[in-house]
Amino acid sequence: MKSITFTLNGRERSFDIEPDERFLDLLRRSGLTGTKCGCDNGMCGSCTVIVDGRAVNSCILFAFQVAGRIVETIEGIGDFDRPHPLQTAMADAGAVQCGYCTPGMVMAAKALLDQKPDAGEEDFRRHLDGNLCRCTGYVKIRDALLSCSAGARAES
Amino acid sequence: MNYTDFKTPTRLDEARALLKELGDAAVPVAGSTLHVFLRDETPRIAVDITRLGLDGIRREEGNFEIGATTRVAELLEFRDDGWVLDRVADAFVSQTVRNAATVGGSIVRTFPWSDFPVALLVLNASMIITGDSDRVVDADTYFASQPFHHFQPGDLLTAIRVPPLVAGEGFGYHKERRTGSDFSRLTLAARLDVREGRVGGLRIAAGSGVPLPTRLTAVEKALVGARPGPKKFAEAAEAGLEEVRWRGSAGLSDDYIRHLASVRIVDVLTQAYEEAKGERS
Ligand SMILES: Cc1cc2nc3c(=O)[nH]c(=O)nc-3n(C[C@H](O)[C@H](O)[C@H](O)COP(=O)(O)OP(=O)(O)OC[C@H]3O[C@@H](n4cnc5c(N)ncnc54)[C@H](O)[C@@H]3O)c2cc1C
Ligand code: FES
Ligand code: FES
Repeated sequence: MKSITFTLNGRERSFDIEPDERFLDLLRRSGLTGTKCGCDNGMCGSCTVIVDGRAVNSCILFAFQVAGRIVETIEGIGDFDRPHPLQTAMADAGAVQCGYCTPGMVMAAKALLDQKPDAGEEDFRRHLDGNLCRCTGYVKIRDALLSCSAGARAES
Repeated sequence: MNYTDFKTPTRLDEARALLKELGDAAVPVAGSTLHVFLRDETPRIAVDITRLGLDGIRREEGNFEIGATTRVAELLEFRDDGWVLDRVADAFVSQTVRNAATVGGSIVRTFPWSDFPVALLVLNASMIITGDSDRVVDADTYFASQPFHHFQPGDLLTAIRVPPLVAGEGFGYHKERRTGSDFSRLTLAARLDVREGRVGGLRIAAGSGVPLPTRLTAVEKALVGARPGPKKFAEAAEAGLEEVRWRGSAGLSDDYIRHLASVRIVDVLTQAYEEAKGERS
């Protein structure tokens, strides 16, 4: 075991980790189970978290790689009582069925909107091209996420 | 990966000294995405090389100099005259992997389906390896075998030098895949320039349908000095088909990939030619 420190959802935290521990496993054993494991191979996006402003797959990231970095997980952006606008939009649009892909979708969309608040459909398509959903068919997810873009709000 | 320890150096000389001292017991780690494909259970110490300041893209003596730990997503976002690697980065898996994988990591240990080797071959890039002395290795030499053979313990790829496209030159890129984030079944890239209505220079390369990324020199020979056009491109593509042994994958037969190559060679030549004429859409 070796200790690492990083900023997790706005607070500096230290964790003892195994050198070959994946970041997803560290999060989940620490009680942050909102981040899901779908494929464990970087191919589905259900484990998406934001590291230094960029959406990455936590299943293929080693925990030591986040030492000193700024990390956001789904738990950090909103909860049942105070949901993030992206979470509200997903629920309102009926874009959640089993919900397994939802935290990853929301985090990938948040990283995009943080970088480009007026992101358009092309941006969402490109930035969420690694986030798979096996239930919804994507249309409602697209509608929900796009409704949170400043571009879409300006048009309506 | 069976990492028994990890180090997070913040200076290049520190990282190199560690890697040299630890020899085969250590391994440089950039995005760390390779472990998805390479299940190596040998115990090793991971040396994180993403904090050494080896990232970013800048113009240096006319060329683009890309730091080895620049994330692929940054290649997609970067814009400048003569920059074409955004088109290659766009075809690279998914945004979440583009955000993690580095351009250096993707060309030190390559796969048949790797995107950047094919593009860097036609762009005539050079790889800068920092060891006890710096070495500049041209793309033909670098990609002639598995590139990790160029590295001794303590050596790091520190930058990639890419000449920009200039007026009269065009670039074409095609990755044959079944879904957006699928692995390539055939990759082709071409860089072509037109002088006084004729092909002045051409580099064209293939990946994925072949064991290692490779230049299609027969296509190049057939076209340099010729008047470009669909008929001439198709003739040149035929010449290219004989030059390499095309290989199918994922249920696609060798013959199918060979046929696909005849079509896609013409496509990348056409893309490059249209851009060279200033007609890229
Ligand atoms: C799901 C998935 C799909 C993918 N699909 C594609 C695809 O379609 N096309 C494609 O091109 N790539 C694809 N990749 C990425 C590719 O296969 C590699 O995993 C990736 O490019 C490696 O980059 P990295 O920064 O993660 O390198 P790492 O995994 O950190 O390192 C790769 C190797 O290079 C060495 N290394 C890294 N940087 C240096 C350096 N600067 N100097 C010396 N040695 C170094 C490491 O020791 C290691 O041996 C995919 C990856 C995933 C996870
Ligand atoms: S669980 Fe990480 S990408 Fe699927
Ligand atoms: S809602 Fe079930 S996978 Fe997306």
